[in-house]
This record gives sequence, C-alpha cells and structure tokens, in this order.
Amino acid sequence: MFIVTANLLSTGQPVYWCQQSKWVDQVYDAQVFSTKDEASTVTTVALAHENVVCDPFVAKISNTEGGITLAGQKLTIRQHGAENMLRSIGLLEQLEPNEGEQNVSV
Amino acid sequence: MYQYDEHDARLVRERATQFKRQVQWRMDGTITEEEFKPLRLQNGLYMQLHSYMLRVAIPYGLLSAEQMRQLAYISRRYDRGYGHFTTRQNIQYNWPDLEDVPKILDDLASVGMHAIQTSGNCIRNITSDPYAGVAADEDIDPRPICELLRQWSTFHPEFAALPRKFKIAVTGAREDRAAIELHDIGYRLRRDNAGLVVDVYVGGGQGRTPVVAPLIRAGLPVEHLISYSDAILRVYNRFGRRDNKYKARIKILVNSMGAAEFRKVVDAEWAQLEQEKLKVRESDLEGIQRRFSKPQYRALDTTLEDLNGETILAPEFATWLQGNTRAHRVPGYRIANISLKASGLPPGDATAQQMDRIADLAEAYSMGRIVVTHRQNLVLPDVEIAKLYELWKHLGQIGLARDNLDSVTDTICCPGLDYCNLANARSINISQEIEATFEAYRKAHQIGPLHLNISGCINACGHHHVGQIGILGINKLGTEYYQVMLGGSSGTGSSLGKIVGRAFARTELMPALKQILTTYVENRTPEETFLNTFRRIGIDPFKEALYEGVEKQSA
Repeated sequence: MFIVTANLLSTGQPVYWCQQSKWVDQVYDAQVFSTKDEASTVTTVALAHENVVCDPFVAKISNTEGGITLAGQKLTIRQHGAENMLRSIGLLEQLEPNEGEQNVSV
Repeated sequence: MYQYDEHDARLVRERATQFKRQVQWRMDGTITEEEFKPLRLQNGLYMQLHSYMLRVAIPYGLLSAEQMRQLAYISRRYDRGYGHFTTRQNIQYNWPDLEDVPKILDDLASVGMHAIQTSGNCIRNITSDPYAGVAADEDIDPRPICELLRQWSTFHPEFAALPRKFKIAVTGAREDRAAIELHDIGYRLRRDNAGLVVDVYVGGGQGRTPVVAPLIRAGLPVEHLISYSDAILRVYNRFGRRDNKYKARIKILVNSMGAAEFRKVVDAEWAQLEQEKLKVRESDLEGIQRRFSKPQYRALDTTLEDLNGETILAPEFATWLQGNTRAHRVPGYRIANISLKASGLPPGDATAQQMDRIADLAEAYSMGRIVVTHRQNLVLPDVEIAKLYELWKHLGQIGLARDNLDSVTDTICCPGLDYCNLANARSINISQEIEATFEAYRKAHQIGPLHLNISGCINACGHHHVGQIGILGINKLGTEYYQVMLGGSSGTGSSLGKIVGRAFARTELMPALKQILTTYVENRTPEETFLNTFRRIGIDPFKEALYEGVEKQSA
C-alpha cells in the first residue's frame, strides 16, 4: 500500500494527498493506493499543485489495519516530528540557569 | 572585526534583492521547483525533513556583538527562538518560512552578513582557528589571509560550478585547531627565511571516503597564495569527476593521480597563469588588515594565581577556569570558551536570549568579539583575567557556564535523523544520553581531554572519522545501529579512527562507551590523555574489553 506526500512550498511542512484531491497535514486522512504505479499517477496530477508543494513522492505504508503506519523510521520521524522536541516547541527559553548561580547584571 | 567596504556591502544587499524576486517567481508559479532549487541552494536554503533550513555564513567564525544580536533577532522574529552553530563555524535556522527568507537576507545584509556560497558546488565558507589572533602558540594571525581568500572565492566566475563542494581552512598556529588536513585545501601559515610562507595540504576530507590530506607544497611564499590556489582549483575543475557525485571531491582526484603527480599537474597549470596579476602584495594584506578592528589591550600583570581567592570560594569556577579558558598571547588576558553543550539540549544550539546575552557579555568583557568554533562552541577571545570570575557568573545565569570543553560530553553532533533528509540514524539523542551518562563519570574518573564526535550517516557532518571516539549511525533493516571507531584526531598530525568491530544497538551503546572509558582508565599512565593511551596500546585491548564486557552486560 502507498500514499503520496510532499512538503508545503510555503513552510516545508510535510503534507499528504487525500481523496478530495488536496493536500492535508494528517497522514490519517491520506488517500491509500494499492500499487505504486497508481500512486505515481497521482504524483503527476499533484504536480499541478507545484506552487503549493515541493517534490511530491510516493511513500510505502506498512499496514492500514488501525490507521496508516508509514514504513521506515525516516518517514515516521517526518510525520511525528523530531524526537528532540525542545527544538521545535520553544522550550529552550525556559531553561534554568546553572545551579548555584546568583543574579548579577553586566 | 572586519568591516565591509562599500563593494561588499552592495554585493550582499543586491543578492538579497535578487533572491526576493526569485522567491516571488517560485511562489506565483513562474518557475518550477526544479528551476528554483539551484537558486535557493546558492543562498543556503535547503529543504529538510520537516521544514526549510537556512545556513548563514560566518566567515572564519568571527562575529561582532552587533551581528550576534542580529542573529538572535532573526531567530526570534522568523524562526523558533534559537540558532544552531555548525562545524563549519556557520549558523543554521531550522524553521524559516520561504517568504521570510529574503527578509532574513535583508536583515543579515544590514550587519554585513549573508548566506552566499553556504551550499552548492562552489568554494564554501573559509574556516580558521577559533583562537586566531590571540592564541599563545600562534606564529601568524590567519584572518587577513582568510579574508583575502573570501574575497577571491566569492562569486569567482570560474569556480561557481565545481565538480563538488570545496572547503578551505587556514591556521597560523603550531597546534592545529582548524582541522586543516581534513579539508579540500588546508593552509598552514608560518615564517621562514623567505618571509611569510604557507604549507599547502590538498585532498583531505571526511564523508564516505575519509582522507588525511597530503602536503602538496611546503613553504610557498604567501605572495603566490592566490595564483597557486587558482591553479589547484583549475586542475580540479578540469579533471575532477562529474560522472559520480560520490567520487567528485578533490580527495578522489589527488588519490587517483597520486600526490606527486597532482603537484606536477598543478605546477604546470601554475606556470602558465599570469602570476604577476594574481600576486598578493604587502599593500593588499595591509589594506585588509586596516579593515579589521584592532583590540586595545591594556598593560596588565594579572595572572591566574591572582584568582586563587575566587577559586577557593567557588570550586565550580576553578574547574571552569581550568577546563574552559586558554592561554592568551597578551599578558593579563585569557581566551574564554563558552560550551554550547548544555544538559538536555542539542549540541551547538543557542537560544535568542542566550545570543543576546552573549553579545552583551562580549561587549562588556571581550571588546565586542565572539568566535564560533568548529566544535560547535563559542569563544570570547579577549577577556581580562581579573574579570573571568564575573564573566563566569554571568554565563551561569544563562545556563552557559558548563566546564566540559574538550571533554567526552563536549560532543560534535550532526542534526541526524531528527532533522536531516540524508541521515540514517538519530544523533542528538545519543549526544544527550552521553551527557546524562558520562558527565558525572568523567569528573569522578578524571577522564580529561577526549573528543567524541557523532554522525547520523556516512556523510560525516558530525566528523566521526576524527573523533577520538567516533560514532556513526547506520540503519540495519530499519533499525538504528551505531558503529564505534577509536583513535581519530583532527589536530596536528591528524589520524582517522579505526572501527572497533560490529555495530551496537542503541541499548548497547552506552555500556559500550563505558567499557571503552574503563579500558582507558585501567591502562593510562599518570596524566596520559585518551588519545595518547590509544596510540600507545592500540585498538586490541579496547576491542577485547568491549565485546566481552558488552556481551556480558547484555546477557
């Protein structure tokens, strides 16, 4: 089973091709194709959206039983975001100063 | 700091304007992604797993406080409030929107910065010794030469489409802190009877084919630096392989021709160049030198002994002083290193708040100068010894008083599979696990200097080949494994690490590293560093202890 995915031109965010012939950000809404050829055909159609997304490509999914599971770690990380979320949700600013330090000003 | 002249200032402004038009064409569908890709790459803009990534050049790693504040502003205004300092002394932003990138380039241009030639098959950012100009072991300040090379290589029409990317590093010190033997060209400046000369190393590099560069020419008078560089690049441009990107770097060419033959071909090319026109005159270097701001040192006689009171009062300060500061060529001053390897954070990351504060501290304590190191840390190069304690306290306030410089937790680490399209395995989380596992251990066992480098794939952005302990992430049937190598070094007399044996699963990796450190501790002589112990006893004791130990713990 296969789906078609790309990155949004405006932000680079991963998006997925859905049955309503548009790009959505949830993989669960993606249109599932039974063959790679079928999915590749849609990739060509999706190229008409070239000023919406970049480089659409076909991605393999491993099963569709309980929803869509992308095959391979890279695609999974691409879908869910980095394991190290500190970099992507702005938590860095909340860091504590080193222990034992006093407040001083320059 | 080097001050741009009007020519350079106009050049970066015009490039920002040009890219604004190109982005507009792409967004309104005038040009395709295929047409846009080379244009964005020429401006350092990549597409990664989750977003765009913009790489900004920091020539030879040198920043003013004003530039650092602008980098902070950009990260806050257009990104997610942090920047990532890289092994090429650059900074990367991981989350810019496409339409904001021309605005970022405008903002960079306003402080004499840009993203030109931070990607593509051209001469990339020139890197250098992070202690350039202040190191106690320096013969020649390499920065004017770096700047000369920057001017020569920027938009050089003949070298805009080389077979592959091209990286140059320069040092003028006895200890190599710029990894010159691991670059396409490495220049070592020195003085001899002929005056200022340069030793030229060509064809080093890492990636899938790691090579320590051979010395191609020793003692080249510096007046020939540009003409000789032109000759090297011309030979590479003509004979470098364009049919296979994995064999396209100059190291493959030098290797296939042999160093002696390569030199012959370069010399023949050099002989027919108009050397007079390309001659570096003293006045050229003086002109460049004048555009660098001159630090105004005070006559001081303070020594480290004068800080005994503070070190007794604050033992953490004593370890920072010993671990993170280095000798300065001017009496009364010290080079202060800021470790960007804070607990729980990706190596090399700094928040906008930290960048702003570092800019303040640079102005207050280091004549407004900051340097980015290839080990992904920052340097305040000109700190009065008497003010080190104050500086340390300020750094502590922003979580940057870590005393782990050059230690096992001061890792070089690429973004890995969390961010990079090319990676096979995650690396940031490995670096964080190392920090959590070994920060206390290294102190308890006095592990000392030890460079540990991690790459998430064979492209070696994390310099694993030259880590004294190197870790390479690989993918075995969809699962991450980590190959460990030992004995690499990018210092003077560089060496490549040797693979210890089969790769480790993620759960095996920390026990394996512990076994390596234990083997070192058990075999070292007093004061002997990890690298020297490895070079003395070889890989076998590590290998034996490692596989026996890990298998026992896994059983």
